[in-house]
Amino acid sequence: MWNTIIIHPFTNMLLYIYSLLVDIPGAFGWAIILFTVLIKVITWPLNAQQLKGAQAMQELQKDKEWQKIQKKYKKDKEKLAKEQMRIYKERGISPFSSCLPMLVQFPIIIGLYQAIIRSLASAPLGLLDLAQGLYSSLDAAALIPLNSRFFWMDLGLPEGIPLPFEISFLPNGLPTLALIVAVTTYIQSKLTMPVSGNPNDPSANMSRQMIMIMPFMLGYFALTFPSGLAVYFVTSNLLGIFQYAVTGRANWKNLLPGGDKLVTTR
Amino acid sequence: MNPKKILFVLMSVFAAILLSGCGTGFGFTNSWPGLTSDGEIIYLASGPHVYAIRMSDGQEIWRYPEAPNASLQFIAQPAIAPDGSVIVGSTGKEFKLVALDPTNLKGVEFKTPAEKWVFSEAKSGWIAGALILNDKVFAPNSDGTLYVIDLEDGFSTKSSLKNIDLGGVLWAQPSTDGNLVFVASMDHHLYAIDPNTYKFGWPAIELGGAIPGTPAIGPDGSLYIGSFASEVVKVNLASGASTLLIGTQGWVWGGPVTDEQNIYFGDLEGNLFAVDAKSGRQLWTIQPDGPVVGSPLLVNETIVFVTESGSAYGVDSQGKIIWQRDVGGKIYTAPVAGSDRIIVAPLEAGFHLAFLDANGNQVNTFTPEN
Repeated sequence: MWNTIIIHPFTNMLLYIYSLLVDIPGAFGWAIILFTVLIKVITWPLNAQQLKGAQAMQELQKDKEWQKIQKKYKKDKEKLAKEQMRIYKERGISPFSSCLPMLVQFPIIIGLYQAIIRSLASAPLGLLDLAQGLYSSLDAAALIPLNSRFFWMDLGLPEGIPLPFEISFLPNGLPTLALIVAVTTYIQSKLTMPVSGNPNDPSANMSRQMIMIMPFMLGYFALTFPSGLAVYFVTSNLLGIFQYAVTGRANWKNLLPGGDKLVTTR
Repeated sequence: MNPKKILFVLMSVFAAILLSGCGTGFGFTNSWPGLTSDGEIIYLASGPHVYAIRMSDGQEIWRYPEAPNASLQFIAQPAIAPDGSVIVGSTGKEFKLVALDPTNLKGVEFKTPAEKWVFSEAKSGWIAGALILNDKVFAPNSDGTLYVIDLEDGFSTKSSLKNIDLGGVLWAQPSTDGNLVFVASMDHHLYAIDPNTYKFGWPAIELGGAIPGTPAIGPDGSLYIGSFASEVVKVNLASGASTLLIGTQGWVWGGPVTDEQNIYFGDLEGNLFAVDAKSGRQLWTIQPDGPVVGSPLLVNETIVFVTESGSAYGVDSQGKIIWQRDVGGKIYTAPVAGSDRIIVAPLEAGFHLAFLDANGNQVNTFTPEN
């Protein structure tokens, strides 16, 4: 079911794009980038909805009535929840509006990840699995095996620029792409998650934690998994930043030291 | 729950899914096992170990290495040298080709053979078995190089005599007619290499699709090989000229096998073909219960083959199914035979090997301890 609905269509689409670019050096890398762009365009409304919901929730944190009920019903969680729901209803805010679009995107992200990994099968069983999920309309026999070279990378292997000396914990050399993934993830997180000035705000604490954890988590994935996935992460992050910028939701001041305070105290 | 918390939990779930999607981590190579036999002993390359198993009673004789090593995975078909050494390559994170000496067994919990020599210069995994010819090992690697190694130089750490860069990915065990070594590549080409000069016997032949199977010498002295182009071609050994033997419905994965008259092979659409080598006429085709990946095996007058659906079949020369055995799991590895036994190596069956008699009755299984 999962394969039929998500993995096979994604894999075939990725290979179809690859077939159009096959004569270009680094075709599979470009196919991943184009496919990511395509996915981003398709999910643009979902992302926009997510951003809108997140911003509404953020504004709510600064609302006086909201802050008042937080204090008033601090020890009565049930009552607090009821009051929160009342305010949500009155303001027309759905507390899940920022989460549901993300939930919808998860299968897409995971599908894309699995399509990349599957397309770069490095062993017979993986290739057989790939072969059995390909549509007959695709001239797969001519395409397989894919050329996995993209600039200095083999997209089927973890990335790294060789160093003149060995570092035991960096067996593949300098993990350039992993660093770019971490930096772009951090920038994207900072731009989209303005934190509250209230240090006791659990939501703000969670935001701060996520801003710190996400770059490390995705950077670690980029470091240890095939670099095709890192190409996807970088492309996705850059497109995300672009989307926030063109919709006027990016808080560029957040990138400055103390910038988050500037946002919340103005 | 706070929506941000939900988001955070979801991100963590996402991370977990990504990690779990890679099994035991990147570098772990999951594929079907490599299997070979000298008629009395079965050599099985399966996951963390290479096993030697007695054909007659299914007992383990030794395993290599004694304890699992997270960097080593074995899926390449072991090769047996004239002196009895077993040559097998690893994949996973460490790519070494090793010659094991079964006459020098050590180990406490399990017997393990000493390493006679090791070759560690390959840049990628060993998926294909090696060919041994004239005291040389012709070992194709996934890095696209055919490494030639001297069997008799006495070194315990080997350097190659010659690296023949063919390009593509080499997943097929080479074959030979004694004069040339034939190497099939996933880059769609079939190469013929002089084992003495290492020069090409004739220009590489483009087959229109990847070639994961071993080329076979037919009864007429021609070479036969199938590919992902869904066809089997016949190659003149002297000139290297190729002609279409037959088109198939699906990709041809395993190399063909031949008897005194015919060529037998399967395809991924689930067909087994018999073709007359002389006329190129299709004699018969049968549709078993699943795709045929592994090469068929000729046992006396019977053609034995296995399917992805977990079945082993015995077929007579007229294409009549004599027996069918539901072994279980999925079977991709070509079967081997010896001592009146047919050995099949399924995946996901709960055991590593099934021992069948000449009528397809399952008489034994092998599951390694620990």
